Amino acid sequence: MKYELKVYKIENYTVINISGKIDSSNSEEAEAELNLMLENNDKYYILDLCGLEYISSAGLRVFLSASKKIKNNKGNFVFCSVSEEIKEVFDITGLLHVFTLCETLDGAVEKIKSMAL
Amino acid sequence: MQLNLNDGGEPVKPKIAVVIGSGGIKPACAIPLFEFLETSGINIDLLIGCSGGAIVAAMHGFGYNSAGIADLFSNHLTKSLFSHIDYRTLLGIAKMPLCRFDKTRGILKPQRLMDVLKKIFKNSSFESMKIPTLVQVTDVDTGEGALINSGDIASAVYASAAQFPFFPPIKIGNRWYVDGAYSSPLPVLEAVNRSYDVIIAVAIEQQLKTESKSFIEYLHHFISRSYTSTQKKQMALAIDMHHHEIVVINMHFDELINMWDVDKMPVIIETGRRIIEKKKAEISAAIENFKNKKR
Repeated sequence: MKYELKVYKIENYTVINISGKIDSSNSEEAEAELNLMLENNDKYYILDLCGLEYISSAGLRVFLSASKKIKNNKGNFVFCSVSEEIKEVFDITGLLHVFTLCETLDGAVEKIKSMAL
Repeated sequence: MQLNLNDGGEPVKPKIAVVIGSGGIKPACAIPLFEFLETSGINIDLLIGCSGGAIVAAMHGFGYNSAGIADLFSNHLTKSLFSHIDYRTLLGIAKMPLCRFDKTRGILKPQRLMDVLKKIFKNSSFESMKIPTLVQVTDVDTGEGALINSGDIASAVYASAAQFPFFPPIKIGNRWYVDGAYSSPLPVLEAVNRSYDVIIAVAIEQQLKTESKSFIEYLHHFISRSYTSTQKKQMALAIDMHHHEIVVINMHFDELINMWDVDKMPVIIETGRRIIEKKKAEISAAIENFKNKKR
């Protein structure tokens, strides 16, 4: 399975675009790569899932691990552009109400601004 | 299943658990899953079931094949099991003179259901199970969950499915047990705690009407929603704690299917077949990825 992580900035907030597929075949690699991206001085992140096609439970643990890392640093994050299929995975695994989801990237920027206040 | 060997010569076959959640007779939708695993040569190392899921898990663990499980549901779990009202209990609930309600009683008399379960499991104990099987129950005094894997199968399965106060609790050992769904409707955490590698979790989801029209319907809907909430919280924790893959199979039913609607068994199995078809690749990948990591 293949995935891709791309990082860029919008208004001083770090956006990480995650695309492709994440399962137990590549989750350790994805977790290490994502953790590296979180090792800057930022506290607030947007995880843009517009290109994420599939995620298994091992992939969800990558997000849980990232969540712990960000919150341990007194920061916060939101997901945006989550497809209906991935939303359903979040729902049946009980993570829909654990994570903050925004419909669009613009909405996510507004949300993260309010969290950073 | 073909075993692969790592450098040390140890088998790398993942330990596989199948967990079947509560949902009346709808957990029979797991039958196509059993068929898929069998035809793919994938052995189940542990079965865990809760409530209706405990009936299905125990039947499979006991050795019934797919056709046998469907027949048992259709021929034995009929409406008559759920129509034997205990009027003394009802009068006790109403606090009528000389009648009292206590934890040993239920609105329905349990004997017919218990007789059917004893017949299905031939008065056998868990030690005779062909696949190790655990049954989720709830201690009626403490509200804590417990797992039963020894003693009389029928009693444990009855306890797991006994939705109190409709059915009375049953005493096993020195504890009184009821429906496992009150504590863990889809006991995935139990498989995680036991370090199973690939966990296949069959979750039952029933589309509920937005408005309830009677006390019983309202209560049933409230309990169902409460189960779903508990299930999701436990699933999130299980995923966080687990080391490999939990394949969650969400069996969604648009049509209302009651415990006694055994005439809808073809719909239940067809729903399972349709959903399992979409999950086959995910299950196979979880197993293959484990083997690849251990090579």
